[in-house]
Amino acid sequence: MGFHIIVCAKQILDPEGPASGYGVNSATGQIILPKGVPPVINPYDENALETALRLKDIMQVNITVISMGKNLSKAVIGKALAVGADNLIFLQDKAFENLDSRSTAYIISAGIKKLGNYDLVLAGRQAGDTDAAIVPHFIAGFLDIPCINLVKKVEIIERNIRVERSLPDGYEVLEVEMPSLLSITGGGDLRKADLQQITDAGKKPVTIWTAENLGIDASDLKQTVWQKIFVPVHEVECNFIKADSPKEAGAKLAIKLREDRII
Amino acid sequence: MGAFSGITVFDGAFEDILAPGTKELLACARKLADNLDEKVNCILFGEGLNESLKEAVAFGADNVLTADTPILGKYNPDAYSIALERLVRQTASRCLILGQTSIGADIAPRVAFKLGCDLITDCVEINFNKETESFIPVHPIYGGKIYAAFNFTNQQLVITLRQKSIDPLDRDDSRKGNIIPVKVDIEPALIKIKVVKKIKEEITGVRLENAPVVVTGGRGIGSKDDFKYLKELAEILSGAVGGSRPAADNGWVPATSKVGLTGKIVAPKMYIAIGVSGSSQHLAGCIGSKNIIAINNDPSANIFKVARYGVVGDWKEVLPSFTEKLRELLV
Repeated sequence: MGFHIIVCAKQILDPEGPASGYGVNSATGQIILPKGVPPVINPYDENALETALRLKDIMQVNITVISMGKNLSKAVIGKALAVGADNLIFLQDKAFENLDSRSTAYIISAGIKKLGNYDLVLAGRQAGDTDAAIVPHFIAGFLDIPCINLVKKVEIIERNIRVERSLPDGYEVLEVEMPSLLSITGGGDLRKADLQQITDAGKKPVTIWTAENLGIDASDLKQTVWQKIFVPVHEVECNFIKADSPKEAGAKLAIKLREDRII
Repeated sequence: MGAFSGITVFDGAFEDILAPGTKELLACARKLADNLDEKVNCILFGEGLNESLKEAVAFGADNVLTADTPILGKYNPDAYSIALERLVRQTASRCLILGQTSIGADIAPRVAFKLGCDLITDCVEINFNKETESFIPVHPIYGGKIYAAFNFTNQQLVITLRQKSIDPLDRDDSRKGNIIPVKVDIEPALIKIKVVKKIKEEITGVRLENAPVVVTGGRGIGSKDDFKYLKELAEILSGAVGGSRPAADNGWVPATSKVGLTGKIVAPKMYIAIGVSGSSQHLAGCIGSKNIIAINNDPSANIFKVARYGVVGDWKEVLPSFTEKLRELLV
């Protein structure tokens, strides 16, 4: 008998995209998102998926990827199927837009409960857009299972999970029983799929569950409300060191720092 | 806010010396509490705490609650969250503030979930509107490209504060405060997570987060070996070496030396960024630095927007003469 691992994956705008396109519409107070930046699987969630795949490499594991949102794209999240996930579930409803962390976790936990049997839930340490790192803990809260965050390595020994948790000055080893939730940091970049795998993944179905399917009353959900959003201004005037050669520029930089009493 | 009163800060699992981050939390709480004319509570977990309790008062606490129990001597997520939740309920605090640290960021969501209250993590400011008695925490999103300000009135709230976002108050040993030992009994059956061992990475030289000078290399450095030139520079300046995410991911620097949103937050007097493009996620970890100095061959690199001094050029040519000149000047 194998293990059933659920990986939570959020679709976000590529956080590696340029900072320049981001802004705030002063009339509406809404975020202006850059044009042309593609949606991707949250890179931290990709780490979580890779962690699941590495377990699947060495033991019998069934992987379900679960994603919540409004306009989820199979072209984006479907990548998970191509690299080795077995099932893909979209929790999709127009009521699932712009929700706060608690409501988001509530919906995802409802999806996980509907799936029923699971041994391990993995999620990225945080989403690369909201950067809050709250949802994984809250999902575990709703499921009433233990949660360990910032996990960089996972080992399964019978029904025990042994993990390494990152610390600022090293790491710690923790143990917990299944089922548990782990939020992953690092753990390796997601493997690439070959053309055949991508073609095969295209044929696999995606299950879509709406609020109604999950028995969720939209009026119980709470949206994120900002008082205001703004673009932070950090810019300073850069004192560029002019010189005839890079070598000379290096020396002049040191002299300038001394003149200005920086050193 | 009726039933709730006071601002509570928390730290735990430390060696009887108040962490700089905890002093920052106290300064932040003090400001909010003074606006409300309420008290600052400081909850500290650990074993054999003594000096740090007095320090907490000297840095701004009115009440220091300490649970000196073996089970809270070392960090355990279950034990800590159970104990902290109980104490926050006991004190009926309107706002609990923790540091965005490996403990704070782990325990804040657990406690907020148990309390059923709102939580805003990784804030760089917590403002207060006196008229409406509202808390306005500011949390950077999209890797710091946008800042979002929230507004909470008349409700209990948990916040984590990013390290080095606020200066601590000056130590004032004449400040008066109460040190209150509290008893917390935790049923062993409630502890599901077992902490087996802690592996400390040996750090040679100056600690990154305390260093007066940080020399950081990015993708542009190109190899682990070439970081020796950065180390040489750091040694001359009594500084520490850091790496951007690409440098850490490639193993050029240890993971514990990563500077940025998901790494260390540093705010040295001088931050020398070499071959670092300056993504918003990286800047989140160094923007508090007094002077940012950038060496990069791309004049349009984002790092130059925040740098006070910049050299456009190949670092391999710029750095040796920079290091040599510094050595000469610093004799």
